[in-house]
Amino acid sequence: MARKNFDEILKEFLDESSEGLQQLDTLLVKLEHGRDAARVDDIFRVIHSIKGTSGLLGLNNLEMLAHAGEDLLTEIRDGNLIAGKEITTALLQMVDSLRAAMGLVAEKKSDAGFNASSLIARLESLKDSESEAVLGQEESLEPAAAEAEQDVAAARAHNGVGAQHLRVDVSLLDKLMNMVGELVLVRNQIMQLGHSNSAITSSSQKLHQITTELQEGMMKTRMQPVSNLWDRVPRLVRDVSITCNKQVRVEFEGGETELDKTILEAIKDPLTHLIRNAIDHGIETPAERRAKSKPEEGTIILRAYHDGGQVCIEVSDDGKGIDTARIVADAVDKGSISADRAARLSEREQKALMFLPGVSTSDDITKVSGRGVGMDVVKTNTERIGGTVDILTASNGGACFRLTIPLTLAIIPALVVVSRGIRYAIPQVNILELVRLSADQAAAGIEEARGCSVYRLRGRLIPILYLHEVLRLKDGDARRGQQSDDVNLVILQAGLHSFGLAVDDINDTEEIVVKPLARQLKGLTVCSGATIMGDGAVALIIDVIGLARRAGVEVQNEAQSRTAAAAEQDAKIERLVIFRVGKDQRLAMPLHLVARLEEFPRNKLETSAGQLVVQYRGGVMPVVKLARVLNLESDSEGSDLAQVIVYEKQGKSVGLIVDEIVDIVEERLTVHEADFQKNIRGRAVIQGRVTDLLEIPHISELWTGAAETVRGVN
Amino acid sequence: MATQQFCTFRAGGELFGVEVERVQEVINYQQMTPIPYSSALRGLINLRGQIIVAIDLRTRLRMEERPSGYAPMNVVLRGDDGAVSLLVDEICDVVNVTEKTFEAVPVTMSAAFKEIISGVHKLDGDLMLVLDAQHAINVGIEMPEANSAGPALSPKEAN
Repeated sequence: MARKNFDEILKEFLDESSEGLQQLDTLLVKLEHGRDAARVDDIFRVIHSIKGTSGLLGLNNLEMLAHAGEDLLTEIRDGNLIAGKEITTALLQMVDSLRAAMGLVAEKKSDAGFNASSLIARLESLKDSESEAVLGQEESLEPAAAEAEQDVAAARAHNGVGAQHLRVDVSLLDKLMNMVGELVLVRNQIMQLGHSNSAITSSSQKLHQITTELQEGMMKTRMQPVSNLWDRVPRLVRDVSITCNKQVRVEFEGGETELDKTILEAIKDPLTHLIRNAIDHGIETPAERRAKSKPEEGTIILRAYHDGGQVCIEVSDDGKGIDTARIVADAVDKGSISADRAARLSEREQKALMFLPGVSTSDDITKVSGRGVGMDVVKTNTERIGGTVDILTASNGGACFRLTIPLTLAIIPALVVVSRGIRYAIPQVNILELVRLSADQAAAGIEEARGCSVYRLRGRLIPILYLHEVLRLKDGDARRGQQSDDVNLVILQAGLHSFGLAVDDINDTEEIVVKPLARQLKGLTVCSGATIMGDGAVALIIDVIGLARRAGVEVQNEAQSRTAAAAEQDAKIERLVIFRVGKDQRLAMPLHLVARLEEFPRNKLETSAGQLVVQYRGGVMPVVKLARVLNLESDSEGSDLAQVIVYEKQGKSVGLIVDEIVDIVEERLTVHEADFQKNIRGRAVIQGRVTDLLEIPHISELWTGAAETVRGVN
Repeated sequence: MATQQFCTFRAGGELFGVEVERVQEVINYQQMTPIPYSSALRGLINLRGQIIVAIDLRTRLRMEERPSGYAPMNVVLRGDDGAVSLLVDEICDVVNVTEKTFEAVPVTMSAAFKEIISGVHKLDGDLMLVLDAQHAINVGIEMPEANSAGPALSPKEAN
C-alpha cells in the first residue's frame, strides 16, 4: 500500500473528527436525559479516536483536551458520575473547543496556539467532584435499557454497511450534475427532431429513458436527509432554553426527507432563527404556562415532508402564538407602513409585516433575539433559494412557520414568456396568476396615470410593467406579425407587493436547468441566470425581485416620510376639483386651496420678465401652464379661452392653466402611493377613474420667486 | 529567436491577432439571445450546452457598427472563468511572428484601443494589432440608474 503523506492523513482525520463531533452534540444531550451504556460507549469511542489520532499526528494540545474529556467520560461510564447539567455543559464546551481546534489545524496544519488549559482544569475538577453524585442511578438505568439494546443493534447494522460508502468530493458531484444537465438538454433537442427512421426513434426513446434515470440518480447523490441538519437542533434548543429560563422539548417528524445539499446549507440559518424565535417569543416561562394550565415544558415540533414536488419544513410551537396587533403597532411605529394602510391589510398580510426589517414583537432585546433582524433573514434566505415562508396557525395554540422549498436548485419549474420575440423564463414560485385580456378588455381595463399603467385586479389596483420597456428591448419585427393585440399579464409577487408583468405571449411551464450568468453579466440584476431551451436557444431567467426594484416597485420598505405624510391624507373626505391636462390626464386638487375658477381669453395672457402673467382684479397675476410643468401636451392651446384655477397663497394669487375643468366632487379619498413622481402626491380612484393628485406645495415653488432663482443659478 | 503564432481576424477594417493558445475555436455566426442594457455584450450563445457571452469587438473598440445583415464570426477565447466569444468581421490566417517585428502601441491611438491592444506587429504590407484577450473580455453591465419615475416607464420611451 502506498504510503500516504501527512496532509492526506490530516485531512482524513479532520473529516472523520468533524463527523464524530457532530454526533456528540446529539449524544451528549441525550445522555443528559438518561444514562445508558451504549450511548456512553459511542461518545467515548469518538473522543478516544480523536485523542489517539491527534497524539499520532503530534497535535499535543488537542490530545490533552481530549484526554481530559475521556477521563471524565470514564467516570461516567463506570457509573461513578451522572452526566448532569454541569457536566454536560462542560462536555459540550469541550466539543466546541475541539471543533474550533480542528478549524485551526485545517488552516495551519498544527495546533500550536490552541490552549484549552482552563477547560481542561474544569473537566478535571468535575471528574473529582462528588457533587453530581450517584443519585437515582437505578431509575435512570432501567428505562434506558431497552432503548440501549436497540441502539446497539442499529450500530451493528451501521458498521455492516460502512464499507459500501465512499467519500466523494462535492465539487466532483457538482461537475457531474452539470454534465447531466447538459445531457438532458441534448436529449430534449434530439427528442424534438422527430425522426421518421424507426431505428433512430427507438434509440432516442432509450436515450430519453436512460437520461431521465441518470438525472434522477445524480440528483440523489446530492440529496441528504433533513436529519443531518436536525442533529444540531437538540443542542441549540438546550442552550437557548437555558438562556431564556424556559423548559423546552423538541420533537422531530420526517427527518428522512431528503434535500439537495446546497439547499440544506441555505436553510440552516432560517431554521435556527425560527427555533430561537419560537423559544424566546413563542414559548412562555414555566410559571406562565402553569397559569394557563399547559404543561410546564413547552414543545417545539420540526416536521419535514414532501408536497407536490417541493419540500415543506414546519417549525411549530405550543407557545402563546403571534400577536398580530403588536406586529402591526411595531411596524407602524418604525415607520415601515402607515397606520391606515396597515388597517386595510388582510390578517395574513398583517402577519407578514413581521418579515420587514426592524419589526419585532419583543419589547426588550435579549441575548437570543428581539433585535428584529431574524424574520427578515428567514425570508430573504428562503427566497434566495426559491422558497417561500408562510405563517400557518397563530392562534393561542402557538405558532407554526412553514418553509416551502424546492428539492433542488439546479432544475426548477419556470414559465416561459415571450417579449418582442425573445423568450424569458420566470421561476414558477414567484407567479401568482396569469391574466389574459383581449384587446378591448385591455383598452378598458388598463388605465394610465402619468405614464404608469395600472390594472384593477378584482378591485385592487396593481401596477403594470411592460417587460420590453423595463428591459428596453428594441421593437422587433416579431411583435406585430406574430399575434393579436391581446395583453398577457403575469401577476408576480415581489416581497409585500404584487405587480403585473405584461408580455407579448405566454408559452408553457417547463423544467429548466439553471445556469449561472457569466462574470460579465453579474451587473444584470434583473436576471438570475440563464437556461437552454428545448430548441437549443438560450433564454434569460427573470429575477422577479430585481425586476421589481429596477422598475421602481418598492420591494422592501416604504419611505418613512412619504408614509407619514400619506397617513394624514389617507381616507379623509375631501372636496376636490377634478380637471384635465393633456389628452387624458385626470388630475385633482383640494377645493379649499382653490380661490376661484376663471376663464381668460388667451390674448389677455402677457409676458413680464419671462413670466406669463394676466391682469386680474386690478393687479398682475402670474400664471403657470400646468401642461408644461407636468411634461404633457396641452390640447387646448388653439381655443380662445384658457381655463384657469386661481390659487391663493399668503395673499398672492397664482393661476394654473389647465385644459378642462371636469367636476367638483366630494369623495372619501384612498390615496395609492406607488411610484411617485415630482408634482404628484399620489393617485386615487375618483368617480371610478384613476386620478392623480396634484402636489400643490411643490407647484407653489414655481411662483414664489422660483423663476428668478432658476435664472440666477444658470 | 522564438516565434509566436497568432490567430488573426478583421473587424472594422483593422487586422487583429490573438495568441493561438488563447483561441479555443472559431465558429460561424450563431443565433444569439440579446442581453438587456448592454451594447458591447451582444448576446448569449449556446456552445454545445455551455452558455457563453458574445462580445462585439467593434462596439468594444467604439468603431462604427457592422452593417445590418452582415453576419459576424465567433472567435471563442479561453477565459479564466469560462469561454467568451469575440464577434469579428472575418477570420484571416494564422501567422508566425518574432519579436523583431514588434512595436509598442502608437501613442496617438484612441483610448479604447490602448485599453485592450498590447502592441503592433509589422507584417508584410499590413499591421497586426495584438489583442490583450484578458482585457478585451473584461466588460460589465452598468445598469442605468433606476429612479423613482423609472425611465423604463416614462411615457416617451413607451412609444
